[in-house]
Amino acid sequence: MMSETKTAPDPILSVNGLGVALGGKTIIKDLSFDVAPGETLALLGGSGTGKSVTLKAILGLLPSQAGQVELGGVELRTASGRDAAMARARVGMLFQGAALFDSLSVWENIAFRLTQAEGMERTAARERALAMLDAAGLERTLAERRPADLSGGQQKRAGLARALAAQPEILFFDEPTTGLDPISAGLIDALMADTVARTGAAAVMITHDIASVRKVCQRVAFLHDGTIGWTGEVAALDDSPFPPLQAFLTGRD
Amino acid sequence: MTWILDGLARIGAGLLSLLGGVGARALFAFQATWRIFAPPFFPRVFFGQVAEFFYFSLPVVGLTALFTGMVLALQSYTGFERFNAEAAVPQVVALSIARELGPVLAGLMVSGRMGAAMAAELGAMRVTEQIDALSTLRVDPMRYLVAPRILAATLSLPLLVLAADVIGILGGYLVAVGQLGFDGPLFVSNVMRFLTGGDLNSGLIKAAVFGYLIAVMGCYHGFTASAGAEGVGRATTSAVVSSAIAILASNFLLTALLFGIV
Repeated sequence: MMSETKTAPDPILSVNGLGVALGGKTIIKDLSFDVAPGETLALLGGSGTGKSVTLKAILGLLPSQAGQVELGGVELRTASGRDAAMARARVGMLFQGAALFDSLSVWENIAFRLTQAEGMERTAARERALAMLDAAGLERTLAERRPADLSGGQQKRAGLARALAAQPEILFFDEPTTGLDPISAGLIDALMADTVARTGAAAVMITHDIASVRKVCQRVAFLHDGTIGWTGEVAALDDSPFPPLQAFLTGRD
Repeated sequence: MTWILDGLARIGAGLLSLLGGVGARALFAFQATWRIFAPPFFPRVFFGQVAEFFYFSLPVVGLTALFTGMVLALQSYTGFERFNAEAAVPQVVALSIARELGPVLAGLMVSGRMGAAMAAELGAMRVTEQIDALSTLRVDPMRYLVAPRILAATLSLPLLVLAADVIGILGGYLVAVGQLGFDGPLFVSNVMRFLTGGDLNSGLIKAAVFGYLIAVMGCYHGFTASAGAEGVGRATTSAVVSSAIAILASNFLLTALLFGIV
């Protein structure tokens, strides 16, 4: 059933046999995929298939019980806390609801990692944040506003700007277009595709939005029953022989 | 026979759950407390929390202390009048406020105000993934969110109680002098003569412990919130209830320890 396609010789992220159980219940089992620089992989699947759990386990936000997660040559599950933290410093993350900090202004959100974790001086960090606002297609006049003053689409773009501010080598997008109107979703799709093309970063997009996948991603890994049920090029999606994927694509799942 | 075993099993399960809850809070407190002393520090967050705990809580704590001091003067006067001991009103007001009512009432008011606010803020951050976002931005959430709040609460509540002591005794003074016919300078002189540094210190030590407990409970319930808005509401209620119980229980232990009764 699996049709593994390795498109790049040196993936920045390799997941092998990952297993996650929460509250005694197995959510993810024997899950494997990899992603190379300049490539965007979609982790596709219906609600409750474990997409977000997979991502959180990779980022160390949830415990995993089995397998290996190798990020930039560091095996995260066995590395020391310091080495794992250094490896995870290569990651930028766009959360489903943007997860901007309510108590900070937009520019402080974007520059948060620079000022709080990397010790950058506030003036320089603000300049970087304003440049990231430009890159995200947001007006600089929004810099002093609070996240609550932004529309949903603007919040997502500010979240993407925050993820990009520290120039990560791999990006995770968690349901980036969920809850957005078609125009805002299209803008986010274009921004994500452009970002990966421009920076050469790798990206993993978690979504159930098939239209978004076709615009942004090169490869797809379809989650079914807590593991990868099918993986292949986006162009091969419609011809996949995997029945659950076809059911998903036709809206029957 | 089966119903007895069922009952015992339920009691056992309840006891285990209680011990698990206490253990989880103790572990959380330990993890947060050692981070207070290990860099990096976040002074902007700390001073913001000091402002919230002290400056913005001062009106409500001040009003509570003022009316408590006034009521205390009236109650002690009417009670002591029965055996001609009205002259002890200044001492009773001062000792009651400094040793007991100042720290306990300030603690309970602040637990309602700040314990709830911390649980709600951190709970909202948890369910909107802002706490996860901190981790992905290379900032330890315990160090950034919890440690400064615990330190701010532990240092601010004694200051707040010191202010409450002064305002509470002032409340007693206003009633005693304005309504009950006490001599003003004599009232002040009696307060100064009978109120020792030990009385004040015991109240301040209690306040520091209460501040610590309020912050630990507020942060713990916010940090572990789940299930959306309903979960945040539950976390807020639990934070207020558990910090109030922790204040009252620790007050008994501290009183016994500080005054050498055990």
